[in-house]
This record gives sequence, structure tokens and C-alpha cells, in this order.
Amino acid sequence: MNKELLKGNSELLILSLLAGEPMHGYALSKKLVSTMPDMFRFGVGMLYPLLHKLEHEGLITSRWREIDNKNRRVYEVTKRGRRGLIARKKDWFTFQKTINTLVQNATHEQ
Amino acid sequence: MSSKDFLERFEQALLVGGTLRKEIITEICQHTEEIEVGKSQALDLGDPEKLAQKYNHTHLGFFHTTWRLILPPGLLYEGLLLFMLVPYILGFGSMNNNMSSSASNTGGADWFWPFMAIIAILGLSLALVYCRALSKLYHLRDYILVTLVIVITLGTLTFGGLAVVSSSNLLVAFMGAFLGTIPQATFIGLFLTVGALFYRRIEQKSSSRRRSIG
Repeated sequence: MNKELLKGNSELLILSLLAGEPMHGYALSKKLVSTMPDMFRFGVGMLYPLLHKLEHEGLITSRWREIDNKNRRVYEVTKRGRRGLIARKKDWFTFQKTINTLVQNATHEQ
Repeated sequence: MSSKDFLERFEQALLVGGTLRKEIITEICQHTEEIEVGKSQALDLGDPEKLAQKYNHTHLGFFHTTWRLILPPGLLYEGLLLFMLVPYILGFGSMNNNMSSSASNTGGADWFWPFMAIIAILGLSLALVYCRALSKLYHLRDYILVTLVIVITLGTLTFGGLAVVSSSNLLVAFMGAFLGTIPQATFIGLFLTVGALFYRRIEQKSSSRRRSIG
């Protein structure tokens, strides 16, 4: 699996997961590990700086909350983030459709 | 690598300071603790230096390395130098005159005031951006010291050069350069220090608000 492909869509992935429910970094990393096959595995080292980047851009926001007797930084999607997610989803589906068409045509020609 | 080693290396490479630093370290510390409890290899954080660099890049932007941090005071001072030199180069002033009189010597040149305005806006914008970057650094006082040293060195060199050209007496030239540089370097240093502390205060306030909401 090309890691660059995953890197390019990592924001979409994080926003999609956080749009479902607000989560702290560790919970998010566990969710990624449990839901994604090995070859699509998202580097957790990349996860935290990416969360900060998204917060910096106003797409997500964070609050410190006490969960299981621990003070956790919980991330959630902002209104701007939801709009960003819709736009990214649209881009993704267009990209996916185009690639599918091209790849299928190439397969038929062979 | 043990989580203690990981955190040590991570903290060393992390340039981000203030409350933001505490928050980042708390978050990473919690993650490493969870890994140790769960013994899950899949949640490994990877290389601590690379992780710290990513944080530096996210929060410090252009100023995420030390050498880039040293660049702006130099540029700022060069901007000021340009502001004084250009009128001379274009022949509107005399090198034997006092340097501060250069602006008045430019007479009615059409380009002069727009040029000065552009330089002033650029200089101020650069200074504000730099203040913000400084405010996010871990060793704030160290970097302010670096800033002052650079500003004074550059100022002494450039004004020294100018004074040597404009005066036949070397001793007078160097004394003039030295005395001329100190107030300007002090002004820039103080401006950057106050600006950085101001931005840090804002950051602390927004961070405590975030905690109290939670």
C-alpha cells in the first residue's frame, strides 16, 4: 500500500472519525488500529501532530476533560470542520469515481 | 526504547514552549503510559525526534528550526539599514552628513515616502510574526538573548561600515557606530521581548479557557 496515498487522505479520515463522536488521541488511535486493515494502518506518530494541525486550522477543537480519572484532551469537529469534511468527501468520491472508470477501462482494453 | 527514553528524546527535540508544551507532553505521556499498560505494539509512536519536529512545524511554522529563528532579526535590521542607505546610494544625501539627516536630504523625491512606508510595514509585520514565534518557544529568554546578540552584532557591523566610510577619523567612526547601534538594538530587542511576552500571555489565557470549559 502506497503510504503517500494514505497521507494525502489522512485529514479526511480523522475528520470522518471525529464527526461520529468526540474522542481523545489514544481512543482515536485505537479506533484506527481496530477498524483499519494492517496495510492501511495509520502511523500514530503522525496522528497527534495532525490533530494539532487540524485544530490550528479551526477544523477541530479540543477540551480537557476527566475520563477514567485521567485528564484527557478530547477533540471534536467544529462547524467549519463539518463543512470541510463535506468538501473533502465530495473530492474523494469524485477522485474515486474517476480512478475507477480509468482503471476499469484499462482492464477491458487488455 | 523505554517510554522514559522516548519522552526524554521527545522533550529535547521539542522547541515549542509555554502551556502548549505542557499540553503536548501530557498528551504524549498519557499515550506512552497506555501503550505500556496495554502492551500494544501497534500503537507505537515511532521516532521521538521526528514526532517533535512535526509538532515544531505545526506550531512554529517557518521558525521551526533554530537557524530560521536567527534569520528574522537580521532581515529586520537589514531593512532598517536599507531605509537609511538607499537615499545615500541614489545620491540624495551626502556621506559626510549625519546619517539621521538622510530623510530630510531626499527633498521632494516622489518615491521616498512610499518606499519608507513599505519598509516600515514590512519591518513591523516581520517583527510581529517573529514575536509570535518567539512566544511559542520553550527557552524564551535564551532566544531573546540570541536576538539581542544578533541585532547588536549586525548593527555594529553595518553601522561601523557606514561610519568608517563617512568619517576620516577611525576612532570617531567606531564610537559613532557603537553609540548609534546601542539604542536601536535595545529598541528592537525590547520590542521583540514585550511582543513575545504579550503573545505568550494571550496563549496562556486561551489555554486556561480551554481547560475551564472542559
